[in-house]
Amino acid sequence: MTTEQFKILVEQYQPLVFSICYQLVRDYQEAQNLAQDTFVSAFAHIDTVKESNLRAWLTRIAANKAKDFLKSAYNRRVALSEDMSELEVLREENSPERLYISNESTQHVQQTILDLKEPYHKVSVLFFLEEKSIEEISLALGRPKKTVQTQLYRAKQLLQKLLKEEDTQI
Amino acid sequence: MKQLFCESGHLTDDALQALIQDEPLDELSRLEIAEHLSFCDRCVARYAAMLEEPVLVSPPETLVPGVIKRLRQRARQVFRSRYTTAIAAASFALVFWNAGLFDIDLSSGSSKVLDAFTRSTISISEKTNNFTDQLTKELGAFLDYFTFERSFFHEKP
Repeated sequence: MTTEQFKILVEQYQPLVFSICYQLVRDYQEAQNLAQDTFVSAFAHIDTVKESNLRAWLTRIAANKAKDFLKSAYNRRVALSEDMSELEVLREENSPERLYISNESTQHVQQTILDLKEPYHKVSVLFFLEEKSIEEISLALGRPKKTVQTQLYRAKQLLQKLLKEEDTQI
Repeated sequence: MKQLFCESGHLTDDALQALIQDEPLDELSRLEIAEHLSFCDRCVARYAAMLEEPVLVSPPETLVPGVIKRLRQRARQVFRSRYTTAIAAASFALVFWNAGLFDIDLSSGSSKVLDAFTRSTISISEKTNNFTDQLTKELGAFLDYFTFERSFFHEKP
């Protein structure tokens, strides 16, 4: 693809790409920046994509750029730990958390896990209740491992919050 | 509160409409949606199909100049990186040669010959560095007018 052809492509698809970036990040300036990044990333492989797939392909790249931006901003605010050992502890036989689950209303905790909404429901059930590995969950649900890990950490935070709120009410 | 994901784990139409219609969605919700779109072909296709006029928003100014500028910057960086690597490899070859790693016997003559050779090697190396610095500056200026179709992005296997 020549430079001129690529410029025409950018003009044609910039409303689509910009709209996606803006809809996800809700900031005009950042959306413009991410939209430009999208086209720069697309340039390297543009010749390998069929025209019929171009729209969906650009949508995916734009969503990825927005995801990276949002994730970076979110992690700075929330400071999620990436240490998997925290989650593994929950499944160890004699861990305090496990004892809590077995000694206190097991059914109640299990029900709280079952009541979680997607995208945390399935990953939580498979990990906490069925004791599947991250790899197995990733394969079963068709989600990248990194996404599964992130969702499990958020699910854990959510569970802790819900169980704490219920304890306070009691 | 809107249900963003259905039981199968896919995005609901409500979620996609909330994005498109600029409805209130907190940061975590938008992050979750973006994460899902990053790996789910089905939802990407559904979302792309919903993004038709008049819901599309044009950027305040055309993206073309910014994109072209970034591509040129990237092409320059790649070119300089490869050029620097090539020069470094050549410099190392000279040093190794001087150190005798290529089995060139220079000691059959007097030590004066060896000293002279070492000095000349260092001099060559310094002059080479000066030359490559100058060349890199000149090429940098030239690349500002260089069309990047033939940069490494378009190198065919």
